[in-house]
Parts: sequence; structure tokens; C-alpha cells
Amino acid sequence: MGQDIFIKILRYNPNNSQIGHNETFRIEANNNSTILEGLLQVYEKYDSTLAFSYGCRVKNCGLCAVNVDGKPHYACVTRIRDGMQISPLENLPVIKDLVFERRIFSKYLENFKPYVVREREPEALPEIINQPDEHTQLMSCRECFACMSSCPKYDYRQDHFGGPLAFVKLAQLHYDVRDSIDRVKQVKGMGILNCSGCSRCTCISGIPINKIVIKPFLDLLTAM
Amino acid sequence: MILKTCDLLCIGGGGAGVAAAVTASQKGANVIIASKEPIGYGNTRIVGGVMAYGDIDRENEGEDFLRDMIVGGEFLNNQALCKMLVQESRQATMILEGFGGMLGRDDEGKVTSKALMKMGGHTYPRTLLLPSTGPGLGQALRYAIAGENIETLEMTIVTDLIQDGNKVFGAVGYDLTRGEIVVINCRKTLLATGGGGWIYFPHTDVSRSVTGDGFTLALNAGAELIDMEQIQYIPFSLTHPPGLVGIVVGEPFSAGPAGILKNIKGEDILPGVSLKTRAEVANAIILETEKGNGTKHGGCLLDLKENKNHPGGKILYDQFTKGLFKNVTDIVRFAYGPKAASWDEPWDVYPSAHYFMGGIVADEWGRVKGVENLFACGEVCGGIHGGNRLGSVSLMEIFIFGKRAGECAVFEMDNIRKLDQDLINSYADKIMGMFGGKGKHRPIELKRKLQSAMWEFVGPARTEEKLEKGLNALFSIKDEARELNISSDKIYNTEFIDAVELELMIPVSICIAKSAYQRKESRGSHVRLDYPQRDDKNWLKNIVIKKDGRDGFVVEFRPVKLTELQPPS
Repeated sequence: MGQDIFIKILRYNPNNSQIGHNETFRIEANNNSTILEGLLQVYEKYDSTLAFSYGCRVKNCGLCAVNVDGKPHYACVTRIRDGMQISPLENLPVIKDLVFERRIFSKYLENFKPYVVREREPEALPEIINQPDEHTQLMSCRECFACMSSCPKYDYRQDHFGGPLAFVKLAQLHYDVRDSIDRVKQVKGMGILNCSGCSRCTCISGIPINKIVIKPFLDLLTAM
Repeated sequence: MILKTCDLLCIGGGGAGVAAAVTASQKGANVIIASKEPIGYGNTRIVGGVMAYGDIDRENEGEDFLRDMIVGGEFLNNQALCKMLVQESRQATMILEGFGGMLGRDDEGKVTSKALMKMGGHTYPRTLLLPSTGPGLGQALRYAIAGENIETLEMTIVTDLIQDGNKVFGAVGYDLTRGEIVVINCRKTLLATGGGGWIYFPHTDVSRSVTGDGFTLALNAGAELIDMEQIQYIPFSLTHPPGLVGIVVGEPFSAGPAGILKNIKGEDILPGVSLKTRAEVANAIILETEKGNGTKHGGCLLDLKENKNHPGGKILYDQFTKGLFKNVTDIVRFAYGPKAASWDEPWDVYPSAHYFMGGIVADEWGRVKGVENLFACGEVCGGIHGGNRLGSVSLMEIFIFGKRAGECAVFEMDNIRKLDQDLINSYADKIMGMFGGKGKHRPIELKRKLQSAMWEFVGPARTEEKLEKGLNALFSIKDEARELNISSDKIYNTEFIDAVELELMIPVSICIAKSAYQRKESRGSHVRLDYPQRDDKNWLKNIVIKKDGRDGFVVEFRPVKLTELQPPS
């Protein structure tokens, strides 16, 4: 069966503390056990005030992304190992322990009409549409915020840089043949020029952000 | 305390709730949508990626679709609702694409029969794929809300509906991240909270938030629940490792033309498995393992290997390894290793609780029977799918019924009734009283106890004896739940979340167990080992349950109205 391992979790409780601290837990795991299993074990056995998010348990919902030894991973499909350090995603407003606030970003995004804005209504339904492959790929974004965590520039407190997730959201609309807004202009306003020369944002769901979002936008902007 | 007023409050941020909210908002209503998770991050987001449309090129599609639904549902369906759904089927596509979602097309970008696929239980191809699968849908829901003037209360759990007699005037909830009580006073309230698969955790593929809240909120308000014993299992889910138990890795169709479902002895237990309904396949696995022919993990073996030597099977294999279902292969590799992922080794599978066919009794406009000002749509409603839902129909249903409920709620808007402060305080006191509870039991401990009792005694293979044990377990959990231990933290208090969900899970679980106890036959997804046959003579009846006083329930049997289709005699 399983063996005992130790994991460290960065705790933060807004109800009684201003700073976070590491807490070590002993859990039982085998080679196949996941981080989510570990977190659930801590929660069920030792401490049911531990705050963490998860939904589908199979990397579809985008709720369980956490930093593991400093890099973002889905807790549900990442194997747990002795000595791992688990902390919330970086650059985001932590609510408690591993849970962060998403509403600040949603509010920011609302300034950019983050939905399909049509010039005119389609004549017949369903429409005849050929969406580019990039659109399909980008619409499978989990909105898990891991890309924001891996970005060296993003900070939720500052509005002058939207961050990779904002660029991905607008790229979805840029590639959507139904949308009529100039999304290139919008991402410029979001500060995408700062991304020049950097390709450190990573998508843990496999979307090549630099290739189909950042670089095409930058190319369009420099061609202007 | 946060006080809000609106015309329509939608509780639930999935496809049904968003469709209703957007429809009502477009008609000028002032709408609030409340959701435990961020909008669009629940069960709708994790759908497999299929949505029924209807075959465009065939004359009798309407009749055939209706027949498939009713035959698939083993004649328990509300046939009038089915008829309406089938008539409006194609609207669902338009609604979703109006939100900014995208459904599959043929090579020319058209929705033609070439873009349709045939799923188990459907006699014709009538299902479209969602090229970006569930997450694409979740994002379309977020587009739709952002594009309307709708107020969102995310991370807000609703604990009670506010009512006076049989009239509802709003709801009370708790904003988990701000740590504040929220009171919403409204003209109309809509429940779109989805099903309750999490009651069977870990043997389920639903999202963590799907704890059946809406069923109990409706029950408490005086609504009826119909056929709660009918819980659909997807036949093929993982049996190990523990963190991935219940995760779905296939539907009947994905067994492919040459796939074989075997017991531990290697015997084919269901020839033609890929063309059967979910209920037929799930039941075959359940009965086989009950006979003692299961694997050491308690499953049966899905052997897909021969598909690689079959032209149709090869196409499916490519879909799983490179195409639309690549994610499934990733998870099979993660759980069972590379040989299973390449179909060279069979998969250990067991059914997983997926969908509640039962639910709130509401009419074709989503009006909840017996409760004024209350609407419901989507999985939280019962009756339309009878004993078994066909694949891809619910995704269609949520948009059609969501839109209808939104329209009707606006059409029937009447004056708002202001809530008096005493009433508000009584609800608020109840919530505040939960914090800092010093009882004997941690909420998670009772939640897990309930889940394991539900799976063991009220799960896939039922007997009178098991169901009695299940009911006893539920009543003792109900007693224990009076003494909860909850931290007094106000912000993101996970024990409080568990406690609220537990309180909502208990009544609906009792309804499931009571309905299952009453139905002395096997029909649809309800398998009774002590009554293994379907009994049309005595049981072409819906089981309706509602509250009787504070703690009691009354059960009623209503003959199904066979207005469109009769079972063969």
C-alpha cells in the first residue's frame, strides 16, 4: 500500500493573519497518488479549514491549479511526491490558503467587451462558418490562471498590463470570424508590447500561447 | 449584510441559469445570477462535448427523436415535455452560438447531416460535436453574461429561499469570499442548480459543486420531486487510483464496432455493446460484478483492441489518440499506463453517477408546481428523461428550457413584495448561528459518511434490505448534523460550505432512497436485485415525493400519461 510522505502547504488566513506561513503535513501516498488526493487527505484527516479549489478532478474545469515547487500544475493530474511545496498561484489576490480571487480580473476584462460583437446579425441560422483552428484551440482555454502565475510582468494591482490570460481571451475573439472589434488595438492598450522578447508564460493545458497569441499580436502591431 | 433587489434571481451559473438570465435581461428585466463557483465553472463546463440537434435531411425526425427519448427512458418520461423539447430542438444551437459558442460543422462550414454523429440509444445520427469541448461552452456562458447588464454574485452559496406560505420572494445566501450574508428580494426566483451527482462522490464524474442544492431548496418551498430514484450512470469510468475513481473514460458508442465488454473470466457480457443505451451497459456491468465476476477493483474489462483492425474502429481510435477525445486517452494513460492508452490492454471500468433524471416537477415554461414565483430549468427539473437520458440531449435541454423559463418569468412579472426586517433577520440569524459551532462532528466527516452510505446502499444495485439500511444511515446522519463543529472564520470558511451543503444533501438523499424503496421493479437506471424485471402492469407510474410538515415526506404514485407513445403490450 501507500507510504508516508511529507508535503508543505503555504497557508494564509485573512481572518487572523497578514502573512502566510508554511505548514508541513504527513500523508499516505503511493506512486500513482495525485496532489489533489493529498490535499483531500489533509482536509479530511487533519484540518478542514484548508482552503483549496477543485471541480472536475480531470483537468477540464481549471479550478485546481496551484504552484508546486514554484511552477503551476493542475492538482488533479499531478503526482504527489515527498517534500513538495504547494502554494497558491503567483501574482493573484489570495483569498485564503490556495484560493485566489478571480473577480478582479473579470472586472478588468469587462472594459474590453469580452464577447462576440457582431457588425450585423446573421441572415440565416445556423450560420455558415469556418473558424480557424486557432479559435478552436483557444476556446479550450481552462481559464485556470496558470499563465498569469508564470508571467514575470503581471500584477493584479496594476491595470496597465492585462497579462497573458487577458491576451488569450481577446485572441479568442480576434480569431472568431463573427467578431467585429479591433482586438489588436485593444491588446496594445493592455500593454502587450511589454511581452516583446519574453515567452515565459506557460499554458498547463497545452495552448501554445506565444505562438498563436503573443507573437501574432506583436507581429501585427509592428507591421502597423 | 448585503441587500439586493431585482426582478429575477437565477440561482446557478451553468447553461440553464445563464440562458434564463440572458433571456430575461434581453427582455428588459433586472437580473441577478448567483453561483457557488464562478459563472460557467460548474458542470456545463465539463460536458463531453456533444449536443443534440436533429437530423436535417430526414422527414420523420421529430417522431423518431421523440420515440427514441421515450423508449430510451422506458416510458417514464413526461411525454408532453418531450414533444415540446423535440419540436424546439434546433433552437438550442442558435442560443449557444448567440452566446458566442461554436458547434461542429461539415468541411464547408455548414451544419448538415455530415456533421452529425449517432450516439447510443438514438436510432439516427442527430448530435453535433463541440470542437472546443466543455471549456469552450463555459467560456461562451461567461461571454453571454458579460454582454448583458446582469449582476453576478459569484462564490455565493444560497442557503434558503425566502417564502411566505407557498409564495417565494427571494433568497438568502452567503458570499464566501467576502464573508457576508446576501439577501436578495425579487419578484421571481429561478433554480438552475443542476443535478446532485456529488452525493455519490467519489463514484461520480460531476463537479464538486453539484451537491443537489436546488432539489432541497425546492422541497423546502413546497415543491414536488419526481422519480428521484432514476440516477444515470455512465458505464465506463475509472476504478482506480483513488483520486480518479468515477472519472468517465467512455460512453457506449466509444466501445466501437469491435470493442468487447468482458468479465474477469474473459466472457463477452453484452454483445453489441456500442449500440446500447447508457442504462443497458451500466446495468450489465453492475449485475456482472454483483455475481462475483468483477476485477479486483470491482469493475469489468473494456477490451478495445480489435477496433484497431476494423475500419470504423480505426477512426474511433484516431479520435481517441489524436482527435477530439485525446483528453480521455491522456487520463487513461495517467491512470492505467501506456498499454491501456494504446488499447493494447483492456480498461478496468465501472459505472459512475452522472445525471439525475428525477427532479422538480415544473411545466413546459419552468413554472414549479405548487410554489408561486418559483421557476426551475435544466437538470434540477425531473420527468422529461424518464428512466434514462439519451446522450447529448441535456445540453440541448438546458438552453431550450432556460430560455423558456426566462421568457415566462418576465411575462408573469408582478409587483415585488418588500421583505420585512424581522423575516430577514430570522434567516440571517440561522446562518450566523452556524459559525463557531462547537458540536461533535466535522461537516466533512458527515458529508463523506453520507456519500459512502448513498453509494453502498442507494447506489447502482439496490435491494429492499440495502435501501432500509441506507435510510437508517441517512436519518442518523441527520441527527448527527445537529451537532457540527465549524470554525468561526467569516472569509472562505470551508467548514461552513460543507455544513450548508450537507444540510441540503440530506433531504434530497432521503428522497432518492425513499423513491428507490418504493419502486419495486427494475426500470431505466433503477436496478433492484430483488425485483429484476420491468413491470409495466404495475409500474408505469411516476413516483412523486414532497415534504409533509417539517420533517416528514409524502409519496404519491401517478400513472404516466401515455399521450404520444404506448409501450408494446
